[in-house]
Parts: sequence; C-alpha cells; structure tokens
Amino acid sequence: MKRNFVNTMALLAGMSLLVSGSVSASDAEGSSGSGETPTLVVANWKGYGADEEFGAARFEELYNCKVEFVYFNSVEELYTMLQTGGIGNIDVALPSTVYTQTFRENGMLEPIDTDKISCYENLMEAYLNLPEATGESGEVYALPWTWGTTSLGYNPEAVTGEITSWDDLYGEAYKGKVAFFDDYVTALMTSAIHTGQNPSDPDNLDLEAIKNDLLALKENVRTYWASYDDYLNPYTSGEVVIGNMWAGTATQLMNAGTPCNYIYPEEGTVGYVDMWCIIKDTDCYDLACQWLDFMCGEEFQYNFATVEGNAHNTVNENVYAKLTDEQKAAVWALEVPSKVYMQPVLSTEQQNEWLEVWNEVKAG
Amino acid sequence: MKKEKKKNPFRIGSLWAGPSVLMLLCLSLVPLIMLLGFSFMNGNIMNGVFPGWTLENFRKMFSGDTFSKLMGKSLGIGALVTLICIVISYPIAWGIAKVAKPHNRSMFLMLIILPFFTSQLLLIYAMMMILQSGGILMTLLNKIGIASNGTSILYTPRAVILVLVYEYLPYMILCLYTSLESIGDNLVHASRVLGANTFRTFVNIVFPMSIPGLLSGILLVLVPVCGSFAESALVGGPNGMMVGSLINSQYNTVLNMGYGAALSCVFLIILSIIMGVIRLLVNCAEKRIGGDTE
Repeated sequence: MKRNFVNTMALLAGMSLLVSGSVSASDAEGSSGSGETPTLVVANWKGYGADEEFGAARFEELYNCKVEFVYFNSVEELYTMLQTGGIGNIDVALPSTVYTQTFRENGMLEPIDTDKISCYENLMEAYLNLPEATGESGEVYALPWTWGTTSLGYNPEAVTGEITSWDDLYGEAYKGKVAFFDDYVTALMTSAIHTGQNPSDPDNLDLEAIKNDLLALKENVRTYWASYDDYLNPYTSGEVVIGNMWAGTATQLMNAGTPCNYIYPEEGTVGYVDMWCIIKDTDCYDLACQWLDFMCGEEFQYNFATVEGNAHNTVNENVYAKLTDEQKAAVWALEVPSKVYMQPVLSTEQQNEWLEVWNEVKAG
Repeated sequence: MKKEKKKNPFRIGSLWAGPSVLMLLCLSLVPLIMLLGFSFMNGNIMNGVFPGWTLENFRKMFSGDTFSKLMGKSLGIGALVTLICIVISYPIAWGIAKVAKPHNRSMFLMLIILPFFTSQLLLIYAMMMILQSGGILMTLLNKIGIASNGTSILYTPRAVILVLVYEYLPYMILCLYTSLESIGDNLVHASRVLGANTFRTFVNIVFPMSIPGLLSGILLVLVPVCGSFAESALVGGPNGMMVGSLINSQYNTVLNMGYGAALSCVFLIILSIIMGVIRLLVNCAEKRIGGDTE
C-alpha cells in the first residue's frame, strides 16, 4: 500500500512537471517579444541585401530598434513558415509576385498605409500596383523592392559561338551541359517563349506543346537547380556551361572567379519582382512601415544597386538616375531587355495544371 | 465459506504508460486519421475555409501515370538501396559483434554512428564534393583509367543510390549488430564441429537468429528511402525525381494539400502492404531453413 502510494505520487509529480513544462514553454514564447527596444522580425533570403551592414544595422541605428532575421530557402518554405506559427511572430516578409498574390488571397497580409511610405512616389511606375499586390478595392499589400530576370547565362570560355536565343539550349552542342531552373512557373514560361507563345496569357497556352518542348530540352539538362548553390557547384566544376539563371547568380558567379555572360534572348525572357509585405497580426505596424520605407528609399536602394559583388536592380527612379553605365552593367541593366514577361496571375486550377505538366516532364 | 478475493486487474503502475500512450495517440494515430480525412478534401486546407469533400484527388492520381511511374521507381530504388545495405552490413555487423575485441566494440560503433552527429544536408553536400567532376572519387577513377577526365556520376540515379546507401547504412548495421551479438558463440562452434561450412552455418544458424534485426533494419531503411526527395533533388539530375518530390510539390508549391494527402495515404498503404509481405516471406524463409532459435 505504501509502495502504491509512492508510485502514485511519483506519477502525479511527473505529469505535473510535463504540464508545467509545456505551459512555461508557451509563456517563454509569449514573452520573447516584450522588452523596451522594439524588435522587428524580418523573413528574407540569407545574404539578399537586407542583412548587409547598410541594411538592418543601419535601420537599427536610425530607428533605435532591433531587427531579427528568419531565413528561408524557397518561397514555399516561407509560406509554410507563416502558416505554422509565423503569423503573429513575423512582421515583414519578402515573397515574389506570384506568392504575394497567394498570401493576399489567403488573408496573410496587412494593407500598407502608403501615407507612411515617404518614397512611394519615387518607385518605378511599372512595378507599382501590380495585380498580385493590389486588393479588390485598390488597397496596396506589397511594395516592389527589386526586379530581376531569369534569363540565359553561359560560360564564355566553354561555349563557342554567339549565344542569342533559347534555341541554343537545345540540339547537340551542349547535350548534358545545361542547367535549368526547377520552378514550374519559370520552366513553363521559358518554354512558352521558346515555342512562340505568350506566357503572360495563361488562358491561351498550348500546354501539350510546352510539355513536348520541355521533354526535348530534358535530353540536354544535366541538373535542375533550385538555389544559387545548386548552380555554383556544377558550374565551377564545368559540369554545366549554359542554362537559365537569375541575374544575381550571374553576378555572383563572376565574383566567384568563374566567367559568366548573361544575355536576354531575342525571343524574350522571364522577369520577376520581389516585394516587401507586412504580415497580418504584426504588433509593430508602424515600425514595419518604416522598414518598407527604408528598404525602398534612396539610401538603401543606392547601396543595394552598387555594392561590390552582390548588386541588384533598383526600383527607385531617383537611384536609377544616379547610377553610372558601369554600375548598370554590373547588374546586367545597361541594356534593358526588350521583351520581359512577368510571371502571370494564375488561378488555382492553372497552378495545378502547370505543376502537373512540370511533374510529368520530370517524371518522364 | 471463504469468499475468494477478486484480484484487481488494474495496477497503478500501468499508469506510467499513460504519457507514452497519449503521445503515441497524439503524434501518430491522430495525424494519420487527419491525413486520411484531408485526402478527401479539395485543395488548400490551411486557409481557414473548409474546402469541401471530393473524390477528385484519387481520380486524378489514378487517371495519369505520373504517380505510378514514380512509385515504381521509388520502390525500385528503395529495394536496391536496402539490398545493398544488407549485403554490406552483415559482414560489418558480424565483425563488430564477434571478431572485434570487446573493448574495441564501442569505438567501432562510434565510427558507425558518427554521421548522425551532423545534418543530413551536410552529408549530401559532402558526398557531392566526392562524386562531382574533379572530386576525389572521379579523380581516382580517372587515374586508374575507369573514368575519363571531366566526367562524373553526379546528377544521375546512381548518385542517388550511392548517397542513400551512405546515409542509411548505419541503421542497418546497428540493427543487425543487435541481433548478431545475441547469437551464442557456442551455437556457431557447435555448427562447425558438426561439419557445417561457413555458408551452412550462416544459413542455418546466423540468418534465422538475425531475422528480428534484419526486419527492423529493412523497416528503417526501405520506408524512408522510398519517401526521400532531398537526395534526388540535389544529386539525381533530370531523371532523379522520386514520389517524395511529387508529394512535396503538392504541399509546398501549389498548396494542394488535399491531393498531397491522397498521395501520402496511398503511398503509406502500398508500403504497409510491402512490409507485411516482406515479413511474411522472411518468416517463411526462417521456418523453411529451420534451425533453433533461443
């Protein structure tokens, strides 16, 4: 009887420890945001400008706050992060246009009070009020931060002849030496461009022709890449010599010591805009607006567009006007591509359809 | 008349299992039931709006051949990786259990579990450095004339198999070691004394007694290998896609969790059937081979 009593008390003590442990864990989580210095939690790609000295550190100095970064390796990961506890804990995030639409439609964003964004009028007209970032009543849900292309890059020391067209990825010349972006939207858009279709008009695309075109390209593909590292390794070892890539990747490859040339094919190229947005239920809305204003403002945008080895395109008109030709060439923006197809707004059915085509190509 | 005391079948000590049972229910059974429910839902199930019930997910899965193709490929890779792990693990596990001196066994086991001290992604990247053109392996093969300069097996299905074997070999070794260590030396000695050669000793004594470890090892290797997708994405090249990538793309790319859940459920059912068949076959083999188990 005494033994049973001891066992019972020990069991109850253990269970109460378990319960109090989970309670104190949630208490600790709840109290992590308190303190005198406000903290802004920013979700971004690692090494993508905002965490540079002229970014977060400067912002902290200007606004007497603390910036904490949460990094993601894909926008899909960002979405999962937000859905599994990020909302209410992350204040601002940087999705691309396609996912800005997804976030907006799923009620994950706060509308931006543009009166609190002093640089709003200086942002390039072409990237303002994109349908993905605009609510039904005209509310602004995201601000453009930088634009880029996923165009054609190649190693001029390994590639002979002039490269001017997406056609150059096909055929025998570079069989087994091509790297291609493992993103269903970019893949289908690039193939649509190659097959003479308009990828920005998803309602009128011949998906069967695109699938056959991608299957033909697959014969030459060495690897599908999803990040800068996926490209860097095979490119520097010579396993791939040509393929589609982000402009920033071309810049980084050049600075890693491997020659890289980046062109805009005559048929056209795929473009994207990365956008800052404020996540729903943030508890520092004003600080979040200040972050957006700082990120899109002249001081940061100029540094972002001119930093050695990791420069990116600016969306600020005043900054673009100040750049020299050499600085524009460093981000492949000296000659603006004549045909840039931005990622279209896809319905849920179209997203599933497009992904199915891409999966059939990869599984085939 | 003396009344018989009724024994209280309930022991207070059995309450100790309560937290574990609760965790098992919450973290295993409940998610499985939820997964089954989600597989009959349409599209995005995490945006706070009930998406509706549908059978479309299963219709879509079986109307095309993408899932069946990838399922077949994943099972094939899983079977090959498991077989390779078994062939390599038996001699290693036997060596540690029976040949190595007792005071050296801990050191060998530590070497086996060393890869667990780092992340899976780092292991994959380390293997990429070895397998890529100009890496250690290809340089060695080039020197002995097997491979030509500038070639590599990276970005091919063979690289996927190599990386998966490297990652999951420790599981098989440890499972087999546990069973082999429990085999009495006197049984093996008796077998030799009675005239059985190494092969007969293995078939009649060692193999039947190692079956529990073998089955555990197969479970720990075959199931995760069939469902893996990181390895095929990083080193598999254009033909490396496995069924895990298909499921991952539904959840993370287009947020079609309903279809992803349907794929996951069918994948789980197929694997469960396969594991049941393997267990049946191994038990039949054990009975047929004979031999006494302790």
